[in-house]
Amino acid sequence: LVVGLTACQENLNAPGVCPDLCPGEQIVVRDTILPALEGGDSTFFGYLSRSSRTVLLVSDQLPAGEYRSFVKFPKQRSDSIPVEGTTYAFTIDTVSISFNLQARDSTATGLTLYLHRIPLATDTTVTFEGLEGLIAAGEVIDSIQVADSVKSGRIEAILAGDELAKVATPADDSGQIAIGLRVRASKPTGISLSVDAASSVSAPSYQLRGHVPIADTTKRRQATLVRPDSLSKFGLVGNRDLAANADPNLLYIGGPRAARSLLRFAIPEYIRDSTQILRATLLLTPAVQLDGLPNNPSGDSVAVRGVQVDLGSKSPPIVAFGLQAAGPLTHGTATPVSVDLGFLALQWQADGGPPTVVFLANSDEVFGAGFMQPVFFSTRSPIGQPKLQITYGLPTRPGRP
Amino acid sequence: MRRLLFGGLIAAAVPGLAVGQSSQFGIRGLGIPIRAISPRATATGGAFAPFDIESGTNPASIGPIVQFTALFSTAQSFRSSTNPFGSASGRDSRFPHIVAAGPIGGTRLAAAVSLSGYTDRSFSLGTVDSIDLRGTRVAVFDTLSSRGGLSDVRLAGAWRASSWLNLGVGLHAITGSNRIDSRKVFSDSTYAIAVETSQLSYLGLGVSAGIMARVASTLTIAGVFRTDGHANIERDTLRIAETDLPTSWGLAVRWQPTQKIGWAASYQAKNWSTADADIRGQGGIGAENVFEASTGIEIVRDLRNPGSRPLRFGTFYHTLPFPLRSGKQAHEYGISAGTGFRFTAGRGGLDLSLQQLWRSDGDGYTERATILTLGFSLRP
Repeated sequence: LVVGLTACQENLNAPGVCPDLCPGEQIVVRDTILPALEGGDSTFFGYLSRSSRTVLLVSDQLPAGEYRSFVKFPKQRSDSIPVEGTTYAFTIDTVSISFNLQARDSTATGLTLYLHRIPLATDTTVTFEGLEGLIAAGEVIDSIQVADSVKSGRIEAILAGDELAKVATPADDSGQIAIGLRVRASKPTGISLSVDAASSVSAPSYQLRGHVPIADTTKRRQATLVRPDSLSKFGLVGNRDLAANADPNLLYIGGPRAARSLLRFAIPEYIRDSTQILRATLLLTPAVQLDGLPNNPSGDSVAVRGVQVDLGSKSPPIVAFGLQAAGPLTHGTATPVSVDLGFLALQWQADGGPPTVVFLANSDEVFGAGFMQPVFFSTRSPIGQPKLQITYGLPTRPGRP
Repeated sequence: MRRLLFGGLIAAAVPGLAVGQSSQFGIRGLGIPIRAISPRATATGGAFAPFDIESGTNPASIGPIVQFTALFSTAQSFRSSTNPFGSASGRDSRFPHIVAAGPIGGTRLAAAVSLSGYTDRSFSLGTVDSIDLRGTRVAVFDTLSSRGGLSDVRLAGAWRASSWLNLGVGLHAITGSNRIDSRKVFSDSTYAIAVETSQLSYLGLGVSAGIMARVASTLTIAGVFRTDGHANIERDTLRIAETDLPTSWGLAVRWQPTQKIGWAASYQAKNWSTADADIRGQGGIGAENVFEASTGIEIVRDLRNPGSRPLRFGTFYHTLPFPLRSGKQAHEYGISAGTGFRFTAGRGGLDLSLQQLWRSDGDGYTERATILTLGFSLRP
C-alpha cells in the first residue's frame, strides 16, 4: 500500500553547481538593440468614425488643450404621462440632468461641471470658438459640484421650484434642450464623460419628475427620461491638434485626426531562426512633452499591435488576445516609452509568422477621443529613433554524455 | 509459447517503464547501470542472478524451466545525495524488470522475453547565479533535468542439453531515450523563461551466451559472455553520434550443501572503457571498466513450497563506469535482504527485497539509498 501511494511521486534533485557538474552548457543570454527600418515608418490618419466616440471631453486651462462638449436631449412630452394605459396630466416639480463621470484628475479639488443652455441649432459642425461663444452667451442652468472623493460614476444636477424656469422649453421645441459643458476646479483640469448613441445607461440623461392626479397614492409620483439618441446629439471640440500640420519626420498617434503609426523592423536571421526571444521591448522617444489628463488613475498608454500582413496603412492588425501590448505614457514628461511586446515577438519567430511590423495607436482610441496626443521621433529624426531591444537565449544543445 | 509471446508483447508495450533508480552518479555518460535481476536475486546481492529463471543476465538460466512464469517488478528508491555543493534528498519509483519465460512443449528448449533497465539517466540539477541585463543585475535560476535511460529488450533461448548442463543464447535490443530539459528562470518576470529541450534516442544490438552446469551434486557453476556492439544516438531524429557499448563476461558459483540452504557468489566484468573515446568525443568526461562482485545466501523454510517465506541475504560491490570528474571512478556497495510468498497453490507469488547501498567517488561525492523492490509473479 505504501509503495502504491508513493509510486508516482518523483524527486530527482541532486545538489550541484553548473558548469562543475552539469553535462553541457547553460543557456547563454544575449541582448541587442535593433533600429527600426529606416524610412519604413509612417503615420496614417482617420482610423475612427464618429460612431466610435463614447466620451465627451471637457477641460479648463489643461496643457493638453481646451475642450468643450455639448449634449442635446430629444423630444419629451411634459404635460401628460401614461400610467397603466391611461394618460394623466403631469405636473413637473423636479428636473434631473445626470452624466457618467469616466475620468478626472484625482488631485483637483472643487471640481465643478457647469451646464449652459445653448441653442438647439448647435450641431457637430460647431467649432471650438463657436461652442465657446455659445456657452459664454448661454445662461447657466446649474452646476454639479463633484465631491473630491468621487473618482467616477454618476453625477447629477437637480432643478426644482423657480429653477425649473431655466429649463422651460417653447412648445415648438417639444421639450428638446441643448446643454453646453465647461468645467472648473482648484487648478487646470479636465474630465471625460461617457456618452453613446445607443442611449445606454451610461449616457447623459434628462429626467422629468412630478405627480399625476390618481387615486392610488403609490402611483402619484411619476418620471420620464430621455438620453441623446443619435450621433448628432452630442459632440466635443478642442483647440489643440498637434497633427494639424503633421511633420512627416515625426510619428503621431491619437488626437482629433485619430492617427496611427506603423514601424517596421528587420530581425537578423540568426535571432529569428536559432534563438529563443526572452524579451522584446519597443523603445519610443516622445518628440514633444506628453500632456494628458494628470493624475488619472486609468492613465494613458500607447497600444502596440502586430499586423497579419504588411499592407501599409490598411494592414489588418492581429487581434488575438495576448498579442497586443501597451506601454504607459507619463503625463508631463518626455521620458522614453518602453513597451514589452511579449508574445508578439514569439509569433515573429514562428514558421509563417506575421511580418515584423507593429502598429502604434493611442489606447484612448477605444473611446474615440482622449486628451493626450503623443508624438514620437521617427527613423528620419536626428535623435530618438524608434528601436527594438531584444534579449534572447542561445541554443546549447543540452545532453552531453 | 503463446503465453510467452503475450508476456513479450506486454514488455514491448511499456519500454519507457523499464528504467532504474536515479542518482547523481547517473548524470554523466549513459547514466547509472541497471541490472536485469529479479527481486529474488536482488535480495541475495545479485549473486543468484546467473542461476535465476526470473533474472535476465544468463540466458542459460531458463533452461530448467518447467512452467510458464511471468514476473513484473517495481522498485521504490529513497536517496540522499551529498557533494561539495550541498545535500539533497530524492525518491523515485521505477519498473526495473519484466520477464516472461517458459518451456517449449515437447522439446528440451525454453524461451524468454524480458525488458530490463540497462542504464538510467534521470536527474535534476539546479544552480543560482546573476547576470547583467540591460544595465541591471538580474538573478537567474538554471535547472537541467533529464528523464529516461536505456532499456534492454532480450529474447533468449536455452537448451537443456542434459540433466546437469544448460546452454543459452540471447539477442538484445538496447533502446531508449533521454528527455533533457534546460531552463533559465529570471527573477525579473518581464523576461520569459528560457527553455531548451532535446530528446536523445538510442538504439543498439547485442548478443549473449551463457552456460549453467551442475558440476557436482551440490555445486553449480555459471558463465556468461555478452557483447553489445554500439548504440546509435539521435538527437530529435537527427543522427549525431555512435557510442560503443561494452563486452562483458561473468562467472558464478552456487553451493547447496543441503536442500534448505544455498550460497552463491558471482563476478562480472564489463569493458566500458570501449565507450571512453566516443563519450569524450561527444563532450563527456569518459568511461572506465567496471566489475561487479556479489555473494548471498538463500534459506528455504518449507521444502514442499520453496518460494514460501524463504530468507535471503546478500552483499555486493560494484564500480561505476561514468565518473563525475576525470579520474574519480565511483563505486557502490550494499547489503540486501528479502523473502517471498506464494499463494493460490503457487500460481501467484510476491517477492520482495530491501537494499541499503552506499555510493562514493572517494572525493566528496557520496550517496546513500534505500531501495524496496517488489516482484509479482504468475505461473498459470
